[in-house]
Amino acid sequence: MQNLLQLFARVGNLILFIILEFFCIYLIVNFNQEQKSIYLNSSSLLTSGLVNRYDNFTDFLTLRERNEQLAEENSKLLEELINLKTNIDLPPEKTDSIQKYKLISAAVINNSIRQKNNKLTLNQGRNQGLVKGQGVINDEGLVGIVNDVSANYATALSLLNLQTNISVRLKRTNEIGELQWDGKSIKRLTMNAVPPHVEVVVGDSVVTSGYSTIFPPDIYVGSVVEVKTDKRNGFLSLEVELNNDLSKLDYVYVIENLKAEEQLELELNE
Amino acid sequence: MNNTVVRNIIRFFIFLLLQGLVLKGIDLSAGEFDYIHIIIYHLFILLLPLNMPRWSILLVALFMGIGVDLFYDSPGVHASACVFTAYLRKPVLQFLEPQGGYNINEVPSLYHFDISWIVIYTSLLTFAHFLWYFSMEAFSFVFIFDIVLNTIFSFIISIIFILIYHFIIRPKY
Repeated sequence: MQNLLQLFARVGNLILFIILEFFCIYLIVNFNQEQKSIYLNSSSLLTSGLVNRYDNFTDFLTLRERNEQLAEENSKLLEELINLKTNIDLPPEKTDSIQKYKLISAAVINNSIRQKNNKLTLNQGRNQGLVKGQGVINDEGLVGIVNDVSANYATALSLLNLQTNISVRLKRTNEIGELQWDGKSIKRLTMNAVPPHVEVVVGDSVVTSGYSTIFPPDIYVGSVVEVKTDKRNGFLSLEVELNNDLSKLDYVYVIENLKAEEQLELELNE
Repeated sequence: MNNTVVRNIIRFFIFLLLQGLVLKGIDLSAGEFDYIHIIIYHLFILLLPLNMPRWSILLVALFMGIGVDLFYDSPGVHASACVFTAYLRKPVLQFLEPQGGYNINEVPSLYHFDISWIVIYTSLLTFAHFLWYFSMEAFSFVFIFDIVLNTIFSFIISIIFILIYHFIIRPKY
C-alpha cells in the first residue's frame, strides 16, 4: 500500500498530465470540425488497412477447405449434367429405364505417366463407395478406370495403359471404335476398329459411346488429328489428341453407375 | 501568501481578457503570409509562484486554456497547449536552477531574476507552447511546414511583447 502511494506521489503529476491531455484532445476532436475530419479520416485509413490484411490472411487459411467444397459442388453439377443429357437423348417413354450416374470427387495423390502401364492413386476408397471397374474423369475428359480399392484409397488404371480399351464414338458420324494407347505419346491415343467406309475428317470430335457400364455417353475425349489405315485388317485407325493433360491431374471424379449391376447381370445371362 | 493568490487571480483574468479581446483582434497577416500571431496569455503560467504544487499548476493551466478557447472558438486546442506548458515548467526550472537553488517564495519574474535567465526561461517554454499549439491546431503532420513557420514568426513577435511586459510591470508577486 505504501509502495503504491509512493509510486503515485512520483508519477501522479505525469498521470494527471496525460489525463488532462486526453481530455483536451477529446474536446478538440469532438468540437472542431477540421480536426474532427482529419481524425476520422486518418483513423479509418489505419483500421481499414488492418481489416483488409486480416481478411486476406483468413482467406488464405480457408483456401484448402474451399477448394474441397468447390470440387464437391463441381461433382454434383457434373452429375446433374450427365443425368440430364441421358434424359434428353432418350424418348420420354423410356425415361424410367435410363441409367443414373453418381459422381464422387477425389484428389489424385499419386500419378505416373512414364511407364507402359501407368496408374494413379486416389484418396477415396471403399468407404466412400468406390468399386473396381468405375470410370474416372475430370472436368476436361477421361482419366482412367478404378482398378483396386482399399478402405480409404483406390488405384486406377490411367488411360495411358496398354490394356486400355474404351468404347468411343465419332460425334459427327456416330461410328463406334475402340480407344487404345500405343505407349508412345502421353497426349495421343488411337481409335481403332473404325470401318473403312466412314469418311473421317481431321478435327472430328471423339466422345464416349456409353455402351459400357463404365462411362456415361457423350463425354468429350478429344479430336482426330490423323487418319491412318490399319494394314492388318483394313480398318481405319484414327490418332486422337486428348482434351485433358494427364500429367497435370489434381481433382478427379469417380463415376458410380447405379444400374451397372442390372445391365451386367443381363448381359452375362445371354 | 494571500496577496500572491489574489494577484494571480487578477492576473488570470487580465491575461484572459487581454488575449481574448485585444490580441486576438490584431491582424498581422499580409496577403498569403499569415504566420504571425501574438500570444502572451501563457505568461500567466510562467509567472505562477515557485512553491505552487505541480498538480494545481496543471489544473489552473487547463482552466486558462479553456478560457482562451472560449474566445478563439476552438475547444481544447489552447487548453492542450497550456497543460503541456504547465507540465514542462518544472523540468525547465530544474534545468535552469541557479547555484544555491531557488527561494521558493519568489515568482520567476524580472524582479527576482536577471534578464538573461528570464529570456532563456521564457523562450524555452514559449517555444514549446507554440509548437504544441500549432501542431494541435493543424492536427496532422502533413502541415509540418505551416506548423514550423507559424511557430517561428509568432515566437519572435510574442517574445518581444512578453519582455516589454516584464520591463514595464516588473511583477513582485
